[in-house]
This record gives sequence, C-alpha cells and structure tokens, in this order.
Amino acid sequence: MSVSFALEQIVRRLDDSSTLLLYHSRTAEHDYGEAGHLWRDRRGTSFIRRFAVPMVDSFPRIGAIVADQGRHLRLAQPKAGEAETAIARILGMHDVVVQALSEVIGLTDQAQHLAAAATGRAHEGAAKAETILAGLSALGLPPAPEA
Amino acid sequence: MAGSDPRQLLIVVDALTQSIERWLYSFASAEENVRRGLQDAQDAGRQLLDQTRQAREAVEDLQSRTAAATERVDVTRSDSDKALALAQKADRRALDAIGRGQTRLAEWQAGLARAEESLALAQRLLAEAQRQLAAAQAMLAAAQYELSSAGSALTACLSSYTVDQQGNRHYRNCSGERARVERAQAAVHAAQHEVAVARTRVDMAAARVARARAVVQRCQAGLDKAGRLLTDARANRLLTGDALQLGLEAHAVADQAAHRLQLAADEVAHLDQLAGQAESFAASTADLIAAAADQLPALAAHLQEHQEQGAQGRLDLELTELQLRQFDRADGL
Repeated sequence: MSVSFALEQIVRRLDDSSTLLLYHSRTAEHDYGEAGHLWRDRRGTSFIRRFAVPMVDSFPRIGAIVADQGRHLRLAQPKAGEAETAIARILGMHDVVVQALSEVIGLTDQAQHLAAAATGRAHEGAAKAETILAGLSALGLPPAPEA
Repeated sequence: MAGSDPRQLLIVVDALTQSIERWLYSFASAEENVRRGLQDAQDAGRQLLDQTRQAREAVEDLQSRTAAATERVDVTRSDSDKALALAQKADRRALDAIGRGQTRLAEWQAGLARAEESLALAQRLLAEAQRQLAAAQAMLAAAQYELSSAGSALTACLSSYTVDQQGNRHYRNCSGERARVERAQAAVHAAQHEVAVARTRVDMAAARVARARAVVQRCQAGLDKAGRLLTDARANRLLTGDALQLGLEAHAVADQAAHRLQLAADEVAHLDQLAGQAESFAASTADLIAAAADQLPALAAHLQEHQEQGAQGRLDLELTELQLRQFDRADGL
C-alpha cells in the first residue's frame, strides 16, 4: 500500500473520529443543557457550572485539535503522493537507465573494436605505402636513349 | 431540591451519568483512534523517508554508472579519433603512392617509347650500313674480277708472239694490259678499303642496336616494376580505404555512444531533480505528520482533564443520587 493511500485512510479515520467526537460532544452538550433545564436547584446549578460547562467549553478546542491534525495529514497526503510519484519514476527508470548505460558500454566496446581494426589496417597500409614509395624512388627515371 | 420532582431528578442524574460515560468513552476511543492513526502516519512517514533514501541511492548508483560510462566514452572517442586520423593519414599516403606510381609508370612508358624509337633508328642505320657493306663488297668483287681478267689478259699478252720469216719471235707490246692490271689493282685496293670502312660502320651500327636494345629491355623491366608497384599501391589503397571506413564507423559508433550517454545523463540529472523533490516532499510530509503528532499531548491533556472532571462529576452525581434516594425513601416514595 502506498504511503499516500495509507495517509488517505488515516485522514478518513481521523475524519470519522472527528465526526463521532462532534456527534458525541453535541449529544453531551444537549444532555447537559437539558439537565440544566430540568435540574435547576443549587446542586444542579453547581454541577452544571463545575463539570458540564468546562467540558462543553472545551469541546471546540478538542474538535479544533483533531481537525487541525486532520488538516495537517490532509496537507501531507498530496505531498506524500508527489514524493511517491517521483520515487516510483526514479525506481522505475533505474533499470531502464542501467540498460541504456549498458548499451552505451556495448557501443564503446564496438567502437574500440572498430578503432583497433582501423588502427591495425592503417599502420599496415602506411607501412606498405612507404615501401611502395621507397620502391618508386629507387626505381628512378628511365635511361635517356642514345642521341 | 425543593420544587423538583426527585424521581425526575433521579432520571436526569442517571441520564447525566450515562452521558458522561458515553462522552468519556467516545473521547477516549477517539483519542486512541487518533493516536493509532498518527502512529500509522508516522510509520508511513518513516516508510516514505526510507523509500526516498532508496531512491536517492538509486540515483547515486546511476550517477556513478554514468560517470564510469562517461570516462569510457571519452577514452573511446579519443581512441576512435586517433584511429580515424591514422587511417586518413595512411589513406592520403596510399593515394600519394598511387599518384607517384602513375607518374612513374608514365615516365617509364615514355622512356620505353623513346628507347624503341632509338632502337628502330639504330636498326635502320644498321640496315643502311649493311647495305653499304654489301655494295662495297660487290664493288670489291667486281674489282677483283677485273683484276683477274686484266691479269689473264696480261698473261696472254705476254705469252703471245709472232714469228717472222727469219724465225724470230716478236712479242707483243703489253703496256696496255699492264696498265689495265695496275688500274684493276688500284680499284681492288680502293674497294677493299671501302669494304673495311663499311664493315666498321656495320659493326658500329650493330653495337648501337645492341645498346638501344639493352635500353629497351631496361625500360621494359622498369615499366614492369613501375606497373607492379602501381598495382601494389592500388591494392594498398583498398587496405587503407578499409581502415578509413573502419575508422569512420568507429567514430560514428563512438558518437552514437556519446549521444546515448548524453540522453542517459540528462535522464539521470532529471532523476536527481526528482530525488531532490521527493526528499523535499517527504520532509514536508514528515514535518506535517510531526506537527499533527505534536498535538497529541494537548489532546491527551484534554482527555485527562475530562476524565478527572468526569470522575469528579460522577462522584457528585452518585452523592446526589444517594441523597435523592434517601429523600425519596423518607418521603415514602
């Protein structure tokens, strides 16, 4: 599984958690509100003030934390995707480039072989040309006939 | 709790207790889910960094291979350039040999023609000398015949006489015959001289013919040798032409290798850029995951706070419930 896909799944799980938290926080908020309406005596007011209100007050902060975490991972997911695309391209091209370089080496071998053959024939040809030129020089000009 | 129905309050307290339980359970469950999710994200981030490192290693491997191939291509291009230069030089030298061979062949062909002309002239001179010798010899033979005839006439003259009546012999006057003999002898001497002169001329002409023939033979031998050398030069041109063709092929293949190396090097440079981008993206991914994970303690602190508040609240509700039930029993509910 790709990292990008894994992050996408994790973001979805965080979204689910965020949705559940939101649902339960609203349910709790509703429960506390209803309790505050029904339980109006001193103890009830005290309970609501001491426990329910702080909890309800912190719901947005908790939701914000989870949402922020989700936002970070949501931002991370395409970056991971970009990284994985680049990595896949690199790893995919590695063998292709290795093959291309291997062919380059093969071509250099072929060129070296041709160059060696050309050098050998060139030396042989040059030596023969010198021998022929020396022979022509030694042959000289024909004798002049008697006048 | 005056003014409130204790039964209704018991229901409210029970509902509150359950709500707190549900909330805390939900919060703890969500927190755990988030924690595990972020742990998975951190694992994924590490996996991504690991993959990025592998990609970087792959690029470094390609860079190393490219450097080795570049070195090899450079050596090959240098070698093929040298081979081509050698082949071109050898081919120029072979062409030079052909040119000089053709010139030399033409010189010897012209030399042979001149020698043959000279031989023909010498042969004509010899024939003329021989003709002059034959003429001189004919003249000598005629002079000798005349001498012989003159000698016979003189002898006949000297031996002829007349006898007169007294019986005396009277020999003839042979001065004319003698003079004829003397003229004939002079003619023979002159003819002999002419023959000797003509023979000398024939000998000289024959010697010239021999010399001219020798020159012709030397020219023919030289022409043969020039021909063989030109044939050798032409055959050698095939060899140097072959060397030139091989050198050009080596050069072309080396160029092809360099071109393909350049393509591979461009691709490697592109992959290097991609590796840099992957590293940057992977680092950003890790940073973002870390930023998300950094908020876990805050979430845990909220959970801890809610759990403590929940525990306190539950205690409060339990105490309230107890009091309500005591109140209910006291009222006979």
